[in-house]
Amino acid sequence: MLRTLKHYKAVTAAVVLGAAVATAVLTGALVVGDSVRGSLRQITLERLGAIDHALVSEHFFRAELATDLGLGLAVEPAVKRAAVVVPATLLSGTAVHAQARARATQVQIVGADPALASMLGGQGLDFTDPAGAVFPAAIINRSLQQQLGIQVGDDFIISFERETAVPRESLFGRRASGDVVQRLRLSLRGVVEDRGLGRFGLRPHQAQPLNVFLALSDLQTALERPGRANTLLVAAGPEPTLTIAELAQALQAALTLEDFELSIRVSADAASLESRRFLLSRATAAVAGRTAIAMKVPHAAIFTYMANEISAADKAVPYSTVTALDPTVLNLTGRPADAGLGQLTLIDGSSAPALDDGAILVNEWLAEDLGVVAGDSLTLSYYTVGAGEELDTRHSRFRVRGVTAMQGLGSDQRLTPDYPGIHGAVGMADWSAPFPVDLTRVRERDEDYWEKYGATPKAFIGQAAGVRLWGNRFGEMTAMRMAPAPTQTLAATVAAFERSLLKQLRAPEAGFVFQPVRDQGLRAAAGATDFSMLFIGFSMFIIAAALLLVILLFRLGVEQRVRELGLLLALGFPLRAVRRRFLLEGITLALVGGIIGMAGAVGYAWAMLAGLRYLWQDAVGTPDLQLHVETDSLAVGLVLSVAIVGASIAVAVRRYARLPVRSLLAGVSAEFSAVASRTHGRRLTIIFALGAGVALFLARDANSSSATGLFFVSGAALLCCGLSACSCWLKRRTFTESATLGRVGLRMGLRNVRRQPGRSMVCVSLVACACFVIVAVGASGREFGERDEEERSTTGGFTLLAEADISLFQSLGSRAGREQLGLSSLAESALSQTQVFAFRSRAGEDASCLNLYRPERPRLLGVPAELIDRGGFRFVDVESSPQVEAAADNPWSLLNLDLGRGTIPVFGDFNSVRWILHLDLGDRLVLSADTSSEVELRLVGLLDRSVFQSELLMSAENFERYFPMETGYGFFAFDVAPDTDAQQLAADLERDLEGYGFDVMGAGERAARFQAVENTYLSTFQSLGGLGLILGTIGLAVVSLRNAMERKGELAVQRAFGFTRRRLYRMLLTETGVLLMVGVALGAGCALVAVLPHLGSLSTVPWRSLTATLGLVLAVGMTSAAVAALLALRAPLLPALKSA
Amino acid sequence: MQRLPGKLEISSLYKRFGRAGGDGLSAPDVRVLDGVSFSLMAGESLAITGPSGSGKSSLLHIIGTLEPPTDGRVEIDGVDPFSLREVELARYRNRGIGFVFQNHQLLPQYSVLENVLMPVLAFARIDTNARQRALELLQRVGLSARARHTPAELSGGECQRVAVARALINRPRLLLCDEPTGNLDHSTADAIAALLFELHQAENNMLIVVTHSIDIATRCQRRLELKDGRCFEP
Repeated sequence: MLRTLKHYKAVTAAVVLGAAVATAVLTGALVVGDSVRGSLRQITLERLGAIDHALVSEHFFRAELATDLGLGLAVEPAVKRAAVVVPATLLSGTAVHAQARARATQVQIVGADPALASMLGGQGLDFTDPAGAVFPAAIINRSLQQQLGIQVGDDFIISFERETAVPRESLFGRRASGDVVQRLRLSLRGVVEDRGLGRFGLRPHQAQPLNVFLALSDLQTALERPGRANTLLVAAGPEPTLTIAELAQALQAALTLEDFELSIRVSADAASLESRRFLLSRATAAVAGRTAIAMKVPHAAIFTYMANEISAADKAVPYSTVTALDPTVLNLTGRPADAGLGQLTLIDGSSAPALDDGAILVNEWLAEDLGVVAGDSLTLSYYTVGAGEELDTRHSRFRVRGVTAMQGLGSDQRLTPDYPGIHGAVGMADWSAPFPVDLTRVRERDEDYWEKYGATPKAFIGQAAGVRLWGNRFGEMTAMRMAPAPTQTLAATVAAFERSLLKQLRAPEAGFVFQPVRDQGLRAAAGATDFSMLFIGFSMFIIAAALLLVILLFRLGVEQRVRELGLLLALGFPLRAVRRRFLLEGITLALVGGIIGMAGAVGYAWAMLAGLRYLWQDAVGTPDLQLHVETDSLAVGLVLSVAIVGASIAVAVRRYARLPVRSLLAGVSAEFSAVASRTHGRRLTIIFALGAGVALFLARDANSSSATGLFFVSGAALLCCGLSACSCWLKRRTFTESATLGRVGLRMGLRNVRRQPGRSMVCVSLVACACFVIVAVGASGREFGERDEEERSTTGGFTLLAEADISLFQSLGSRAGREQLGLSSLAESALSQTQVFAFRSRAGEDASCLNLYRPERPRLLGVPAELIDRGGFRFVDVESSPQVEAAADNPWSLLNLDLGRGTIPVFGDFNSVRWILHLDLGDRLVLSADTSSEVELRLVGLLDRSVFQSELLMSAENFERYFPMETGYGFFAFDVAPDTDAQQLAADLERDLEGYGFDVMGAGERAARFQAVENTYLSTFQSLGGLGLILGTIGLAVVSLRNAMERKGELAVQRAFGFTRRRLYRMLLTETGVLLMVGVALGAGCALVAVLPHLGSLSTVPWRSLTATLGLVLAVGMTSAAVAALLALRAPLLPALKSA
Repeated sequence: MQRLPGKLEISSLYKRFGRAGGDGLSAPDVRVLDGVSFSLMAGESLAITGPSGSGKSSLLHIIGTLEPPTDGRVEIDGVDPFSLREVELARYRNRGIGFVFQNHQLLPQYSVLENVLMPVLAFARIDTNARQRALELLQRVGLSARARHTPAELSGGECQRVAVARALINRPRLLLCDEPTGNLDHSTADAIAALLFELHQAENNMLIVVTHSIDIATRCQRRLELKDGRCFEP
């Protein structure tokens, strides 16, 4: 066998080369997948260092919790694990160079404990202030340094959200810019490279984070939360792995009421459970109530609110507190005095009566001031926070049920929580209230009351009435008042209650959830997209071309040896043995080629990664992809390649072994001895044509979901139809002389391509398939265009989109809101003509194709009701629902579907949902919510190529219900009036709202960014299709040369009859040209017809680049054919004639 | 078509091939033709015989202008074809000379009729006259019913008859046949020979046949025997 292979060394080398190419490409694609996964894994390990678990809370807790947790883990009987727990504060914000004003948004601000550095690889974090330093020291990573253009020693300013426990959207929440945005000037102490510490980040994304590190204590000081942190990082150490359950158990034991932002205020006779957030959340209130009942602790709900005015007839008292409580509960024990909850007594000494919904008790002072007695009516005026964060003044009328004495509960200041900005004020004039206060209305008498009674309530209403008037999503009580349990002292009761409550309070419901960030990161590193399969898909045409080339070359080799084949059979060798002999040769060649291809695979993968890093970086968004070669992939690739190449060779051998021995001995190749079956071909052509017709018809109204499938079906059917028709034409055996041989070059060339129909078909198929890919992909590439500005389009008709690092609490759509935000007159003028839609936003992982990691907790947006009413955008598919009749006209109404408690209808972009989240319409995604441990998101609509590819959308109403702690608005869509300069508006907004990290982007630009990824993938596909085409062209050249060499004698005869070399040269060129043209025309034509239903019109096809590509194909093909023809015609005439 | 009376004049034709010795050193030239001279008139037929290697095929190729002589002169109707440029030489060969090879050399991808018409295409388009002529020739060789068949569907004798028709399509003044019956059985060879001479007479051309066949040689009006590069008229 070795001697045979050596004898036919040219064919041997060619087949080995073909097999090597096929193996290199197939295995290389697997290595690309390994490399992407390996790189993501490496990035994950680098950004996390030794961190295994992380807890990032919405609110601040004791930094000592880290120590407590570490100790707890070590001593907890069920755990007993040594783990390093480090506190940190992580904030998102903006950084601005103090002098140059260069700006970076989406900056990660890290208040770091020194231990963090060792967790992330031992690089030091030295924040020691040099002598004379004015501003706190900070260290930033290289990426941020480059973005700001800052040098060590320079100052820069970071802005981030000021910490507040009180929800900003409640009455006592502070929403003014100065209360929301906090700026901190820092001095740049050092720069760390974008590795290890510099890469630190908990969110899985391949993009390099922009990190600012400063001492935890400095950030605590700036936030006015000394000793507090919002993050715990856990390095579990060596095996066995510390589980999340073990961690949760230890955390539950380590938490204190302070961590839950709860406190128990104890006085002589009663205690109050209160929250730093001003309101006790419903969940906490329920747990506290249940605990108190279980411990037989007398308790009552207290809800104290601020009334702007209490008026009766023509008299009014400004700014008074009113408490909602239920006097009957206070008296429930029947021994109110003993119960210690305090007694509310009327001026006649009787106990306060039960209060129905319209009843009110006023204290003596108020009764006197307003001149009211029992039976009179009065009006309470108070603020509520409206949907757009504006304060609405509401009025409620009450009937005076009695007048309370200024004693007991009636004079108890503890009924009023410590209102931020109010508590502790010397006088009312010193109030720093978060809501507007008209101090001119404050009388001397009011100041006297304040001085004497402080914030003691002036009136009492029923608890139900209080909940109705003032209850909101943050809660409906300001305190739970408790008295000693029977037979216990108050101190003992409080201590027991605290212990019991801490056991009952569920850490996850308060946002204390550890995430196994390392496991999640490594899991996500498997990637949203399987790059192995992606590149196998991209390389399919190279693989197919290489295989066809192998088949072609091997067949040519067998053809050279048909006489040998015939001789062996004639000598009595069994057919199977002869076939096996040839097959063994083929597989040996495939194996040798495969082994050579292994090296090529690494080279191919390296080249593809280089392409992804530089040429196609839009698709991956990181230059950090490194080559990772897994031996498993190499082995799989080798086995697959050898199997495929071997199978291809087996088919070629089988074909020849079937020929009659006489034909083989005569050296007759398969082509002319085989009787062509054109009837079969015609049938196939008709079937494929019908299939293509049906698919094209269906594709006219198809959505994106089915369009891809229909495109492939129609495209493949058209191509098969064309190739089948071409095959029939090549096998045509009846000649119509009148039309034949009219023009030497063309007609003889046309006839000559039929000489070896099989070879010709291989060439046409190679070229047609590759051209199909190139043209289909080229025609499908989209750029942002005018039609994307329509309402039912990619951008939904919006001009600008914006994101803020710090949520806005004012409406950009109202003049008042804009004034509060301090927008410039230019922005004010432009926004007055602009419709602004503000979205709620919950941070999460990027669900778009810009993220290579597989997201598990995607970002959420709450869609405002106005946008739901407005509609817009295109949908691939929506869930049909009898609940929403209007869904057909406006699918957005599906977001208002009632799917039962705990299930939220959401929209996602089709591409993100299908390819990144790997979900589909109707599928569910479980996330942790603020109100319960888990919430289920059900996909009820899929947007078509929208600007919302990074997130999932739900109604703002559901967002507020399930994520009440996410306040403010972080995402905005602007429908700018046509005569407004959108670019100027964007610049104005970014400048005016710099502190919020307001980042404005053209909606088209955002759409184009997503489109760029798709286009980059298309470009990759196209480039690799081009490589396949080159292989196809090589095949064509081989066939041309082979045909020409085989016909040397025939050409010599023609020369003997007077044909000039030039004429014969033209004829040979025509033959190749015909194959090329037929291949190009078939591939390009089928591609254009197949994409037409999806494009709507061929006007968007980039004709110039496509024509150039196809022109290049033709030029390369014709050049190779010209060389082949020259070689064939260079032979001297007589020897050629003698050999004929 | 009225044919001009043709005349072939071969004068002192020499053909030598240089060769390398087995040791890589140059060896003396092989003298294939050594001063061959003869002439032939239209309507005459000439058989060239001789042992293998005597230079018969070389002489035929030189006459057919497929290769130039080392020395000497070939004139057909007073024209020295080797003085012509390549295109003119090709045209000259196409119009003036017809070939019949030992192996028919039909092109497998063309039909019988197209094979016959093939020489026309070298310098012209196929018109009605050419087609008519081809069909006539096929009729005369007895293959009009097989005009649309491919060579693969014909027997060896039939293929050679097609080759004869192809050689005559352009009404050449000189018909050169190189062992035209060498690959055929006796009866088929007889039939082909008869056909050749019949068509030669009908076309009134000059016929030169290189052959080992005594039968064909005796049918020719003249006979030339080549031995060691020299020719003798027996």
